[in-house]
Amino acid sequence: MTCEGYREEFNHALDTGTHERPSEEMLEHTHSCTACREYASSMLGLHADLLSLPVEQPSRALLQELSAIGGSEGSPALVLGWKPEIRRAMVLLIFLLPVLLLWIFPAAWAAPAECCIVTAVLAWLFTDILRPTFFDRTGGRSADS
Amino acid sequence: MPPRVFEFNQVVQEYAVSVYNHAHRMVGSREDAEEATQDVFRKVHAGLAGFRGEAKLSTWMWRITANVCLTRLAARRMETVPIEGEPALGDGSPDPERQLIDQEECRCLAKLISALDPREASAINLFYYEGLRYHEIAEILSVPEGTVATLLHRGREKLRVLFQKGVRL
Repeated sequence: MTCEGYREEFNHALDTGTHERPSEEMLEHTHSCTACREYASSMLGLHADLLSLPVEQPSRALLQELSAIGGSEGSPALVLGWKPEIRRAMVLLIFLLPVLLLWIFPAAWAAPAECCIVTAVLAWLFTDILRPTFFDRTGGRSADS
Repeated sequence: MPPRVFEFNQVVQEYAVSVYNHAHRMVGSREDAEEATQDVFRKVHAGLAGFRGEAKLSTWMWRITANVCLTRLAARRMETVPIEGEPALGDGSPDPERQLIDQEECRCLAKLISALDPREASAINLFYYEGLRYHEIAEILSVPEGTVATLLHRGREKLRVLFQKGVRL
């Protein structure tokens, strides 16, 4: 194994967490190469330092500024993870669905079971799609505005 | 399955500290990090309504953070050219108090990370502080996984050399 090969493999081992179980080939190389032994030692120290660096807390002023972004710029507090165009298309589909069903299966409206299923599906879609489309928790602004 | 609902203030609470720390390690100074953090959350706020949920929210957040920091660093490097081979530690100000603060700051590893190439710094941050794997970092930085390994390898190697030069925490 060359020094270059060893260092590449050692770095990969650090990334995958397998550096504590080096291969036979790597062990042989470290026994014979002082430079790579020192390299591994310094890299392990650096790796440990990087893992244990403390997290710095941002200033209170910054946190207030960040919170103010949501409040001052007047956009939705609540949004749905679908594209607005898709949401609008789905809302339109909900309104058109009964008309389409009536047009395709006029007899289905006579059966109470079918009516119940369609009503349940529409209710579910209303809950999940219409509410976030038209209202948000801050008082009814459109989520798309 | 209905898509997940995200609330901006929850996103701020969840990511403010991480984004600030990431920005601080990328741009080096506290002031720049605060400005970068605000830029990130303004972009998040503007883009949240159009967030399709195709990627994880965290991936999307880190992509914005990395891009904001890279843009700020690129703009800064247009203004000042650092000495070849040396970390850009100060802001060039002749103010002795500022220089003292910078000297203090350069003792910390975070400051050393900010002296790396921005993509290397980003990869190091995402790997060590966010605990992300190759494929996640690759998605955020829009590079192949092999490049992520190279960025991490090169970044660590540069940090090791800086340590050997005597720059310590």
